[in-house]
Amino acid sequence: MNRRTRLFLSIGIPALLVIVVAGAFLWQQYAAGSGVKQSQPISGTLEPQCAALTKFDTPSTQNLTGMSLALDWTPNTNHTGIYVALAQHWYQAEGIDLHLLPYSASVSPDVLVSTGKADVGVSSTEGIVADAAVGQPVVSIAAIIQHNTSALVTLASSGLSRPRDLDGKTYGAFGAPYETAVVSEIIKHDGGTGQFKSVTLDVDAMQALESHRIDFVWVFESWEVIQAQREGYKLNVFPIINYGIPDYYTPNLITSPTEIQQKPELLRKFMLATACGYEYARAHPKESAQMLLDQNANGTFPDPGLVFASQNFLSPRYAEPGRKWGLQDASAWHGYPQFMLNSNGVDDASGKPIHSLNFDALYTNQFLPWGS
Amino acid sequence: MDAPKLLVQEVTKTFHHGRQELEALHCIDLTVAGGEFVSIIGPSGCGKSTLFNIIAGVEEPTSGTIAIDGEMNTSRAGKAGYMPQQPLLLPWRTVEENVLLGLDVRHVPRKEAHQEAYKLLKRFGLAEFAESYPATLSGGMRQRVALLRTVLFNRSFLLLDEPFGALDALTRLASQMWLLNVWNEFHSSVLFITHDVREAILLSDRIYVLSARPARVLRVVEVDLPRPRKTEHLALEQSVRLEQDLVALLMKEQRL
Amino acid sequence: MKLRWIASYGPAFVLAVALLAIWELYAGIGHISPRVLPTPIAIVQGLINNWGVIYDNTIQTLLETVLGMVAATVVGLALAIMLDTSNWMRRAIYPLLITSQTIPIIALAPLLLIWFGYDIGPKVLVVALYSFFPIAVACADGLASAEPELMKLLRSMRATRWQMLWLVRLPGAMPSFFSGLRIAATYSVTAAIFGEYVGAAKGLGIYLQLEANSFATVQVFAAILVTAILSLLLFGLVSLIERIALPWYHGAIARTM
Repeated sequence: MNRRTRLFLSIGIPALLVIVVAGAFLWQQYAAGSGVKQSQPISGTLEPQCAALTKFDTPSTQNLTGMSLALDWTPNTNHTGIYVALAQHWYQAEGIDLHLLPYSASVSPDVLVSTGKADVGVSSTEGIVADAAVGQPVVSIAAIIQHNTSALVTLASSGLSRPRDLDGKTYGAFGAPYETAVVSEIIKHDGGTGQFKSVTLDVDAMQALESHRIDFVWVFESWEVIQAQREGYKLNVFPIINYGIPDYYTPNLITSPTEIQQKPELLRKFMLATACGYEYARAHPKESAQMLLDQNANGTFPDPGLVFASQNFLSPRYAEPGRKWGLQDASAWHGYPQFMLNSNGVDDASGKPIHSLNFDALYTNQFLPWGS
Repeated sequence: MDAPKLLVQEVTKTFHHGRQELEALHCIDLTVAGGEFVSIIGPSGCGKSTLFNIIAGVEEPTSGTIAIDGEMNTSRAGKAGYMPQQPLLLPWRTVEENVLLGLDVRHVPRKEAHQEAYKLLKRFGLAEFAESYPATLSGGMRQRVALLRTVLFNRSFLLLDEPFGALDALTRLASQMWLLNVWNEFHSSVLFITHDVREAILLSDRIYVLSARPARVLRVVEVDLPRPRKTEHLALEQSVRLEQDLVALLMKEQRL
Repeated sequence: MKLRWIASYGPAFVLAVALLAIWELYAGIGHISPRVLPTPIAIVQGLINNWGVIYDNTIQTLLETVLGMVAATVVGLALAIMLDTSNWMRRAIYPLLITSQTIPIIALAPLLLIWFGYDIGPKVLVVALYSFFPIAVACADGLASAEPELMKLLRSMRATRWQMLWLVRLPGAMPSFFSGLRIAATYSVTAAIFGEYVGAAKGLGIYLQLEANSFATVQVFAAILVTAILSLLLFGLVSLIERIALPWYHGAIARTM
């Protein structure tokens, strides 16, 4: 092999690789499409405000205002209402072209919303309080789930059958500063001393629990607990609001104060479609779960059974019976947030704990279609 | 009268290391006539290589002048074929490509350069190695290739720094004869450094003996042996005497 | 020739098979829940069953990796040459180079997202960022180790700086360059996955997260398997190219063994 051939091959082989991979990539883009499947139009009775949306016939992409929504996690049943509205083209009916921003493990929706990279996002009361404390406030415009559905859980086989048994045990934390205060309060409420060991986990909470290295974790009843039950693990579940923790909303839909100032009409339209989506999901777990599945590419939900089971659990809990979805009460915005501040777990931008905050500025119901 | 190939006049070289001064060469006078084979011998570390660096244009003297072909104010680099002690063949080039290295630097078109290099290799019996890589060659072979590289770059004036020092006795002898062959072919002017007195006597027309540091010219000797040289000439009485004289001179310098 | 090939790769193969067998037995017997550690056979089955989705994500990650590596090679080479220019340059740039590697991606991620969005750009950037360093350092070291005597020889031939670089220093630095390239190639796929964690719709990193969040451990391991295979292939490709580009080097190495 002479010099020229060698040089040619040395440059040529990598170049060929790049061309082949780029080609495969472009081919796949062209051939695959979006992976989103068409959903059946819904039937059945709807709220009066939502009825108008279903009359919408052919979605067109002209004159639509682009809008972006940042998810807090990979798609799950907390987001079902949004996907229902997407599947039914309700955003388009309101003149909105909604983009769901891909999930980022390193950048929270709060940052994206407060920097204007996203119009709306999904966050939690804890996140919203922390954002306000460091001077990057966001505003909650809806409570996705009316009551807190998180709980401390232990393996049934561990024999730890009530919170006060957790004294001296090991907790698998996710690394938030107020966790210790919350867990301690729960244990004390049940009569324990509130002392326990804490280890911050980088792994799946349930995996840690099953490995027996951790005694208890804090998880969502609607997801991890459902999955564990499906796998046959028996758990002891201690919903936190049953043990002295003030009820609070999580997750929430958030937007920035700037957005509220500059695009209130857009927010109203967005919320109409979204609220109707969640209202539908409340009454139709099976169909809405199907829409959640169809709107996402293959591979997003390796276990459809989990999605259906979770939706069955969550649908009745989006809002209290007889009440409309999304409404927020002042008590939820004063109780838990104050609890967080009292635990010295919330810092301002320079790292010092703060002790008071204007909670009323953190939420509003004005964009919900049914007023406050 | 023609200008000598090389004229070195009162060249001094002083190195400065911070406050310290080190005089390496002191007032060296040296000439090489056209077509002459001149050797420089001296105790190790006396500065022979420094002198070579200056002549080759890699370093500048502290004082004194050097003229090549009568010109003293132009840059000396490129005017001599310089061969350092190590053959320094480039391992990624074949033997032929190594030989034409100097022509590459001169931007000679490759086709022409290859032809010239191959001609040279053929003339001096190395054609069969043209496509080999240096790693496959013996030490003696590599020195010869390096020599051909030097000759191809500049056949009129060669600066050879102890080219055969690392070879075993037999290979050295063969290489010396081969060098004389090359020299005969091109009528080059050669300046040759060695620490081997017998080698100097065998190869040269004249020998400069340098002192220990700071190096001065101790003696210049004519070697009056017939050409073409043969190894038998070293056994002649005049050669033996010369050798003994020079060795004695060097031994004195070495002790200092 | 065949025998030599078997002799050189044989032991690694046997060791790998042995480890896999131990893994299969240990996980299969039931000591470990399949949610924590599935058996190798289950993983391969998972790979085959989900091949369509995994392929789609693999192509995405592979493109990010390959483009990032090209960028890293160009930048790495250029930096190595710059570092070689003078001592002053070296002292000025080297510390910056090292610092660039210590920035945790968590700090970089929000900036990348805000400046460049969710396109393939930031992922290529992340791959390039973490891959250019071994290439630059290895190549710079290779350039620095050029024989001073050789430089003297070239100067005596009136070679310019650039000629010395092109004719001697750079070719001489190729073995070092390739060893840096090999290291970079091995890490590049993982770097692409980290880049995807910044925010992406598709890719092995995202696929990993999706499956993990749905407790599909088998698919998580299948994705990891694909990542490992890709890294091995890239490493092998670099070695192949080195063998083609530097036949003289391998001849010499073989002789010393």
